[in-house]
Amino acid sequence: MNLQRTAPLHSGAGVPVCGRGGRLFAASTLSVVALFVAGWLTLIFNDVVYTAREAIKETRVTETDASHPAAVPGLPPSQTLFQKLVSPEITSALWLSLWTSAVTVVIGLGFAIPMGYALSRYRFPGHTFIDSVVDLPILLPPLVIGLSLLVFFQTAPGRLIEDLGLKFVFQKKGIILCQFLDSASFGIRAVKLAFDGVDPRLEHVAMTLGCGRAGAFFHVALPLARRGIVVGGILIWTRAFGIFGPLMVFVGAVRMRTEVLPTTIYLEQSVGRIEVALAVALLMIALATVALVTIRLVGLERQ
Amino acid sequence: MSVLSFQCEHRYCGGFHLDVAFDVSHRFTALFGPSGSGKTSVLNMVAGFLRPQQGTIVLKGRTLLNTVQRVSLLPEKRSVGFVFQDSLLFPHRTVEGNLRYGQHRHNRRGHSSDFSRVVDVLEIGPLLRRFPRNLSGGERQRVALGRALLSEPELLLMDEPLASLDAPLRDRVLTYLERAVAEWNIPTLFVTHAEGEVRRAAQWVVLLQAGHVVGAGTPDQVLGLAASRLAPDATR
Repeated sequence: MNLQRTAPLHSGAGVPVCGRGGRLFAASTLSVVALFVAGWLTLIFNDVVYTAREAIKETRVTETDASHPAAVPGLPPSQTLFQKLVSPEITSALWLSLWTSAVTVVIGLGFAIPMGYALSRYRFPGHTFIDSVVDLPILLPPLVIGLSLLVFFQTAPGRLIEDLGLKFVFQKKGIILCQFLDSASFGIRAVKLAFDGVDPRLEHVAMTLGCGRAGAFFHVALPLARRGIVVGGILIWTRAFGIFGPLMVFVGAVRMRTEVLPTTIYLEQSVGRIEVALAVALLMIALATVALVTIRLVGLERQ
Repeated sequence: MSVLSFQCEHRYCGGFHLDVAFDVSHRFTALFGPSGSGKTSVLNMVAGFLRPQQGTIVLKGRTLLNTVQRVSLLPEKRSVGFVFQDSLLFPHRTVEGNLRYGQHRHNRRGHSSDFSRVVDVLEIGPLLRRFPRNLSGGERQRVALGRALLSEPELLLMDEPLASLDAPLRDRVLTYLERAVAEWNIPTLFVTHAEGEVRRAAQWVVLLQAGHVVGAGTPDQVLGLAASRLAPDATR
């Protein structure tokens, strides 16, 4: 593999990789990247091939059904894969997935920015313990979040919240609550790391120039940490968009009510419609790819 | 007349005990001493970044800190400019953005005459549209000084502003510092452990060792004392 034949290879710091040892090292790290990406692309490619084959097969069957002289009047005609994908159930799940995950990102960053800043800048008794609690959802199986929520809303404080009109169990609000609890830790961790990377003395300088603590945060720390905040938002969104386990326990899988795209995949495969489940999975992959690339281009590359 | 009166005591968790008292009445006063003697802590206390357990700090008759009366002005209310060793320009703002930041915060009108004067004296006109990452070490320090001056401080604090520069550049930047301090007549408290800088710029020197003042006087008096009291590496 001749790495110098094409564009010059640069390390992250912009220093050209030179020398045989350097090229070998770069090649070995890049080959690990290639292996990982190739593995994923192979999986996705197989899904695409399988789904396409099934779609063609179903289209033929549908055409045959429609033209068959013995077609039974009154029975619904067979649907093509595309027709299934644009069915009210799946479009409703798609829309629910998109808006709930977007709301979760807003709420998640609403917590992640102040929490990340506080954990990065202030030392207080119990700091290490609280910092560890923030990471708990990253380590726990997601299902535990659903179970804990279900139990919580059986207790007095939980019932009080529901009596106040905030109903979560088997409701759309419950989807957002599950997504938030499952994904916020990723955002908080990313945002804290971003603030860790901003020298606190820059805020001190801003204060000697007449800026208050809050002004120093908004004018200095926040703009300098925005890359990490965008990353935090991406992490929250990806986690929230793909959440499944806690939803099954806490809000159930009610079609066109609490059904998000991961739930659709589960429901479709459970009735044996593997091709539809795979098509929905591919739709999720496509949406996630478009969103991640767009966010990276808009939010990160411009900095 | 004393510009700054400083008397503070602070005991750190690690056991280091800082007990320092001195007055600043000259235009250019150096805090001199070896690393770890407490020089930067003193500056941080004056600026309001570090609150001592006991003490008083009075700047031009204005109490910045009095632990008995429980007075402690916030850093933004103290009217002190701070120039750090590594300049600490805001990386997301251009040179002009950095300079204007201090000016706008302090004086909403932001007189353009002050701005032009700072730019002329420090010769940073050609740099205005550049970002800090595209400046040399000396250029960054000149911009940091200009930014501090534009906030119209009553006292300028400098924490080893030349330490990260090589010898020829250090001389050039020191010339700019002297010129600016003379032009604006701002009392300056300058932390250093370089004897050459003290001899050249300081009118008065406070010698610190292990958190205590061990001498104060003119550069000749104090450097002589320093040579006899401190380890050779402290007065390079």
